[in-house]
Amino acid sequence: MSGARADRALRDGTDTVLPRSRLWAAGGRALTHSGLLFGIVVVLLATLAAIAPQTAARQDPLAQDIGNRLIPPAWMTGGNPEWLLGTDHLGRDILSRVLYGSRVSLAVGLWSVAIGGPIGLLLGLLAGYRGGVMDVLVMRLVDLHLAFPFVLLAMALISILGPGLWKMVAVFSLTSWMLYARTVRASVLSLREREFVQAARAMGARSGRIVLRHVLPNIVSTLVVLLSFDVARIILAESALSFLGLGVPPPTPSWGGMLSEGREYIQDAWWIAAFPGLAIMLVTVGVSFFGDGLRDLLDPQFDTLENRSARR
Amino acid sequence: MPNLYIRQVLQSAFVLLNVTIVVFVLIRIVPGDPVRLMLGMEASEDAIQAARAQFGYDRPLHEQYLRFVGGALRGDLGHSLRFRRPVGELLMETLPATLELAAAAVGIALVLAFPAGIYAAVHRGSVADRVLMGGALIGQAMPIFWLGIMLITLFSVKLGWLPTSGRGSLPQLVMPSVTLSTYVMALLARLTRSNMLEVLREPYVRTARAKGLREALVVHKHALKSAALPIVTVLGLQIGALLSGAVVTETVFNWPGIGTLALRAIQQRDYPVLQGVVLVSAVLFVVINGIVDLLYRFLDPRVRLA
Repeated sequence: MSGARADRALRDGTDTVLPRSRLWAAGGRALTHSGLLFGIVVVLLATLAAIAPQTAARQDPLAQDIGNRLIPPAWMTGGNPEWLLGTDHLGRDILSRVLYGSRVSLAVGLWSVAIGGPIGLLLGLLAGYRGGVMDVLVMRLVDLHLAFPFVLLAMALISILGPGLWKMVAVFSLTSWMLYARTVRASVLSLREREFVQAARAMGARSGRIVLRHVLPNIVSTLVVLLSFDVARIILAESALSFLGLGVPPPTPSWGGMLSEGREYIQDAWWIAAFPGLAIMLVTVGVSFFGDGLRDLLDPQFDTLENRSARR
Repeated sequence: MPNLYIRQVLQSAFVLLNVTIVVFVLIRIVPGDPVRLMLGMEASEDAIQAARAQFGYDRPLHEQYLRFVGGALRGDLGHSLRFRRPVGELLMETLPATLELAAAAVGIALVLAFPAGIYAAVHRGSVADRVLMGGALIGQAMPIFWLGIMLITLFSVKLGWLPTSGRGSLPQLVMPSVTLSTYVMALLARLTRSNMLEVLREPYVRTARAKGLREALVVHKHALKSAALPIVTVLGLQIGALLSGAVVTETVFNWPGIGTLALRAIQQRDYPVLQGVVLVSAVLFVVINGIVDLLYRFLDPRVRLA
């Protein structure tokens, strides 16, 4: 794979390095890339909802109002514009809970990647560049990690650690860095043999300098794309754990938790479960588009005319 | 050549060895004494000591580990703290249900994803391509438990066509297996499409076309074969995702498989059962992937003859 990629890069005369002019071009193309634009909008909206939910939420997400329980969304008969997306079994405003619920999903997704990413990068660099014992160790850990179903392993760890937002972050960063390390290692292995790295070595550059100046800049874009995809994966896993009752304890609103509550009322109030699910989907699709778009822009493999036409 | 097979088996065995260590450590770092949990708060100190000796919890750790591995090799996975039954028995009761669900899901995924991916690749850029790939993207981004709940709302609550839960009849299998299949289906469809696109550019496909072969023949005989091969490997690696999905799907539909068992074990702090479920699913993954690797070597002449 990496060999084929290097071949293609040679054939097309493209390189994995991004000169400044190309970066500007990439920035310009971002505005015309509809997928990326959609991703950016969704990510911005979700971030806004997480930072300042009170701007759009008209109700306290925790305020119960038993007199107004199970009110359908505003556009249905019996709906009330006061509760745009209806209320749940305790009379809480669904819209407010969905908006506040973004906090848990985004916090877990972003923090897990922010902690796991650098660990994976560091160990992947060490394994790929140094090789030897480090390499064997990291790769065996990856093999071992792959053998466990992700959600089941996370469930088992949470059942030991106990539920909570930071414990979820711990579990997800602990179980994700290996995947990043593997990708980084693979890129380093192919970069190590490339001419410009060989040249640097021939000129007497020390390992640290080669890794920092020549290897790292060529890995960053791959890693950023991988991490942005992984935010989506972790948000999905977090919602699954919350759904199973192993996430952030109630009454804190989380999308998975809302879904699990809504499941009990599926006979008479579909909207309790429907909207948090749509929120999860929108955010994961948005983040995936964001990652896809980033890859189109940053990865020169997709930058050739041939590939651009292939993707149209 | 036989060297490769031996290496493969040794590698799998090595991973399995590490799996047992992880699983063993996992249950030992649980806060609280498992024996005390099992006997309850009011148990006397003597009874606790006796039970601890009976289950071997009073032995040194390395001895406990060897007993655990030795037992596991003979099919003895310890005793459930809540059900007061051997974990092996519980697994034998629930595993077939999970395998049935997973097999049905993979079957649905294969039957639909291959044609969809091939069609999208051949008609690249068409409306159908965009619709199929958009659907695949959503399928990958959708929380499957949400899909399950929405299917229940539509087909059970509103239309009354399918039962909401349980196992035993074909109608009961429909919604859980469709739910579980979505992720794998979406992944396979996207992969088939991109592999086909890649292969369709290969010189030998151009040659086949230049010979004047019909397009259908080119696609199905020449391109599909090499495009399908890498998918075998990916499918093997998706076993983990499939089992993760099964845990969630089973919960939504009250499907009596190992996922439901695992969740109950967690809720009731029945750690030996949880240990058994994790161990069995990891073994399943390693064994299936070992077979897939061997199969791949056998199927792909480039690797076989290398």
